[in-house]
Amino acid sequence: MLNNDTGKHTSMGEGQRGKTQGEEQKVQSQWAQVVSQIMEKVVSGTNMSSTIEFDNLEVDVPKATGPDGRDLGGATWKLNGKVVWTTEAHKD
Amino acid sequence: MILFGRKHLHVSESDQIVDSLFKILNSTSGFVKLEVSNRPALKIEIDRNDSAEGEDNNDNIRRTIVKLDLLEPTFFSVPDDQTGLFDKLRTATEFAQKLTDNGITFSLLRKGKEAITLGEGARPSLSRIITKSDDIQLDSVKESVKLKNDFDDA
Repeated sequence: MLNNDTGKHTSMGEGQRGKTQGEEQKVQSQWAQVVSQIMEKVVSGTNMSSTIEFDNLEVDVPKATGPDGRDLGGATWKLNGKVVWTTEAHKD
Repeated sequence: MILFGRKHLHVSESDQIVDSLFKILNSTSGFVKLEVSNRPALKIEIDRNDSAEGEDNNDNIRRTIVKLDLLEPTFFSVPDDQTGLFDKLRTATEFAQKLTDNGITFSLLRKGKEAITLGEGARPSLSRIITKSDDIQLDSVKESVKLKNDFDDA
């Protein structure tokens, strides 16, 4: 594995594995951070209006079995329409 | 942001979030559009088709094409993110491989023009030199560079 900070190759031995998993978690959380910052912009940007429009969006829901073993069957959800949300900042 | 080698965007074999995302994509079709302050920002098109593998094989192969069109690319930049687009691509090989394994093609477009394709539909030639992956294709170097600049400059 190449560590870009040092430019040195490091082995993936057992001793290193714990550290590597820690690094992976850190990297994943950084990716999650990027995604969450974009989501935050969309959902909670101040003084703005956002619209999400579903146009013939179909979701196949797979067959399911209920708690009593009953076959609940599958379904197809169809979504059409818009959701609009606006955010305003107030000085109280 | 610190890079930890080529597998920066690491996807483990049993990554439940990625598996769930792929299951949802494989069972969805249609369009989703996002407008921010009355300006189109994003369009997602999911196209799904089932086809028989061969005459003697009744197993259906499900193929899904996801087109993510960034109509206002600067909106999706994150100032705190220090990694560039091409660094991300170089390290997304596992993710792209997993897309291929699940029959998913993921196309990233900039203002309607194809820039990058990941997953099953990727047919890389020169882009293999940059990404070292058979599952990542730069459809247009011009659009990819523009996209990188959109993310960097904002």
